[in-house]
Amino acid sequence: MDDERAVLGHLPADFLTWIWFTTEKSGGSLILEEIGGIDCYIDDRIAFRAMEDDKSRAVLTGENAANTLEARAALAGGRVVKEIRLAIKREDREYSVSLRGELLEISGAKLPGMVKGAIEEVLYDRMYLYEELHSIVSALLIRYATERVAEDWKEARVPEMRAWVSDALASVSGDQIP
Amino acid sequence: MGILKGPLSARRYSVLGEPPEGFRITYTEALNAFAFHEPASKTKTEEVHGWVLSQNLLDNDFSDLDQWLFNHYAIFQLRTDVKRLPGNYFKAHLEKECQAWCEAEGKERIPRNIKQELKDNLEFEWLTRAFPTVRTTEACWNMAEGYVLFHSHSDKANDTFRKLFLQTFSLELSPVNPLDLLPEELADALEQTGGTDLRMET
Repeated sequence: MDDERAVLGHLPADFLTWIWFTTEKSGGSLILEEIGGIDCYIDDRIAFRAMEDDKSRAVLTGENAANTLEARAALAGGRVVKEIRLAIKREDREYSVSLRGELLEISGAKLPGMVKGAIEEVLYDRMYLYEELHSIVSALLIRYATERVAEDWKEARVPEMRAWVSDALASVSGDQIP
Repeated sequence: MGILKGPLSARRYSVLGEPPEGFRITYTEALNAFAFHEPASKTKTEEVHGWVLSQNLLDNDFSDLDQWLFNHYAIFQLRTDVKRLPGNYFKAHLEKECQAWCEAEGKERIPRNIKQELKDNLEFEWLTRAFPTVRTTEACWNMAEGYVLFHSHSDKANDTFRKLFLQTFSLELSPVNPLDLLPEELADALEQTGGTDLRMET
């Protein structure tokens, strides 16, 4: 076994913000390597923290939590995403899951309708669904990392993300923000 | 609950090493050796830990493989019991006992050693009658893929779990870091990056 890698402090916030941005830009439809097509969007919860500490500073819940003025204002004001709840659909299987913490742990994951029966049948079914969800999150992470280390990240993607924040603020507030 | 039913909230670990030849026998003995047992003393206030079957927290006999090993999945629960006295309620009762002693003895103040004796007796009496707080947390070990899910995000519960897992199976657990999910070259490159600042320029 290789030496353990240190946890990368900025990774969770960066990754979760990228998911938010990417799913909005794509209308929620993504094609992931080794997974294929999925639908993915921010569900009913998004939490922010200040850059310097780990405490939640703003938690937005409810329908379209990510599309509120408060959500964009939080990013524009220097807060970073601490936790999001994602709705994910692959084929006819629908998942709802929160990703949180420095390990991007799966939390409160609702798995699609399960079989009923003996313990082993339930276990195989649940673990298959968990594995699928884990694979989807891994594939999202690989897509993010590939874009993040690309040469045009700073020149192209970051300005695009900043425009996404400011345009949304402008459209909600009715003012043009420079 | 969680692995088999309800929303799933788990920390994922890589198992550093593989089960040995004949692990079915070895691990049955190991799980029984570290199974949960009620403490001998009913007045123990420290936490007591051990393994129980997933089906029922009162079942601590792992001799039947069909109860915990399903193909390449091992599933069991960490049970943690602790007895705690309700602090303010206990203190109020102790105060009454001290007052009663003072009245009976015709004294204004109770000596420290007598108060300690009353406290010890009251603690013993209450702890003997008290039910423990019982917490169970499921774990599922995918032996084919070499990972374990532990259905808790609590650092304390996870520390206890890792220690007991190591004692039981002689295998260490390493929490899965997001970088572990990436191809090595990509993880190396990502380690050189910093956070993305989306603050609006003013």
